[in-house]
Amino acid sequence: MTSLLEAEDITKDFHIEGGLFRRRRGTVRALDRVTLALNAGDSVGLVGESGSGKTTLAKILTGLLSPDGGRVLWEGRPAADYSRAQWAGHVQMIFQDPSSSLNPKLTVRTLLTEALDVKHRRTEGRGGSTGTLRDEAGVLLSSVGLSPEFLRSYPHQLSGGQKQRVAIARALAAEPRVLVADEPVSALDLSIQAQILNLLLDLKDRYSLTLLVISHDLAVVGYLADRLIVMKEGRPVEEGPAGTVLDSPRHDYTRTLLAAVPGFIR
Amino acid sequence: MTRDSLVRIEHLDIDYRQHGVWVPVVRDVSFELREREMVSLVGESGCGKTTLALSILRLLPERESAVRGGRILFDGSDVLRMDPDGLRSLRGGRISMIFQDPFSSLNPVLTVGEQVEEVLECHEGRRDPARVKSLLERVVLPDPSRIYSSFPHQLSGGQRQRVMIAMAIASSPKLLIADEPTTALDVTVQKEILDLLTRLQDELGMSVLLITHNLGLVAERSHRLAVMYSGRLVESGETAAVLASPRHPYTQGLIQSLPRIRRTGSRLPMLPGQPPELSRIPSGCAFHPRCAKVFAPCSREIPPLKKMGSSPDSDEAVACHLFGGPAS
Repeated sequence: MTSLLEAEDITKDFHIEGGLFRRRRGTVRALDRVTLALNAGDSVGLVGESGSGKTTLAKILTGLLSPDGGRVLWEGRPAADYSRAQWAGHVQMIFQDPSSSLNPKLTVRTLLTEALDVKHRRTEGRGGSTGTLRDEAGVLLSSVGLSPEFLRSYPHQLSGGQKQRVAIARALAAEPRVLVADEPVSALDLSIQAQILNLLLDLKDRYSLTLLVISHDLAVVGYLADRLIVMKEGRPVEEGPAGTVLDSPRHDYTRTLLAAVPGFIR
Repeated sequence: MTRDSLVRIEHLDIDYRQHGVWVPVVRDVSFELREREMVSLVGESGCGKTTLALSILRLLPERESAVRGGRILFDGSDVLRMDPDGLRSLRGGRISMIFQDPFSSLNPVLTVGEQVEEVLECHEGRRDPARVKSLLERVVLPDPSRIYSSFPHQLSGGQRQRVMIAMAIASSPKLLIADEPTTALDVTVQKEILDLLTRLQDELGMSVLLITHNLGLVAERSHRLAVMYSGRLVESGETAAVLASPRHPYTQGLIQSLPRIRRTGSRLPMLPGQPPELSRIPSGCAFHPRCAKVFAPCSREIPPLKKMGSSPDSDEAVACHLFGGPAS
């Protein structure tokens, strides 16, 4: 069976520049020959600490960064075969801080209708009518648990949890098959985190999404994902079904991460 | 185990000015921190936990905040009536504070050694590189000589927080206030920093007030735990007891909604809604619109913090109409 989304032997280097003329001072290998496959309906968790390369990998899968080596495949075909608009209908991403991922000058309605319009152009060859877009924006908002009155709001008028819901709605506007969630709750208040985690599971079921969840928090990925990949310094060090990795971790680094989880939520 | 009281806060009320209107930030908070104990103050953003901590140092912005009532006693003396000399001996002397982001608390153009030395000079009146190095060793920074001549940007986040801790303990404080000390750090580094704070608290015999929204990793370390919601203390007690059997529906909801690393049911139990804005705090118990156990008195009367447990020196207290008993 062909996987839905694959990363094959991905390498990514970042150059460190500095000094008067921004000369190249060195290179950091963010990803070192990483291979990963997502099958339709999967829920995969990517765990690691800062510098592990997990966000870089997510951005490459989403098409926000291009790899220096290796390739990304969609249903067996290389990413280069698809347009940007087509890729937007494959993979969408939500980020840790919804305050910085939503344009502060746009209302929620504009944020959503822009994304919906792109989807109409992709699927039907022309943009949606104002009425259609408005109706669809309302439906999207209610699917993430917000009432249509928020369409008139600007991001700064929303709480952190509400902003993250809008960011999720905007990602869903493209009708993606894969949703990448990069630290989806770590910037949110404690009593809001569970709401967003449950919402992601609800949406996964309702829209048959394939989920890639990225977090430094084993509890968050353990809750959302069926399969875990533990990354360290640009390489996966352990991979397997969530239960197996958590019950009998083989790599020392996984054990270190597990030891940092407080006893009463093990 | 009974210890002497170091900080005693009595019925404290604090307001903030928000868009020209005074709003309540801290309401009727009474709280005690004893010698040589580590206490966590837990709550979500806007619940008043940082304001409460800053008020112990009288570091609240003078024009934008007002203490409306109550007392703060540190080592027996009233902080709210202290003269400038008294405050100077308090701040950075008998009380030290560290913050979430060590990078913005350090001077980027001075070496670590110079900055730690400056702190020592303030307290002891002389520069002493050897003592700086022993402080850096104390917070387990490898190769103190190299760290001494490093600039903050050359250190990792965890190393910077260790430098902040070295500066904080330079004056041998009786109280260290740590405001979200590990929030910006990786999980494994968080654990190391908490290990260090726990050890120093014991070795130096100081008290530590941990302000955190992290009910797991951070709060678990403390001897006692106090939970704030919308400006009020809603529950307090020994940490292990509160985490194992929370009484207040808010504390219960928070603990139940923490993702376990093994999914047990299909969905996490969750608290509905969100914490109220300060300008629109609900009547009665501020938590009542989100509470599953709400009943008649909740929307009318503010529940007082009541002592729980049979023994008179019991630490457990809860502010909820579900629980009777004499007010503390």
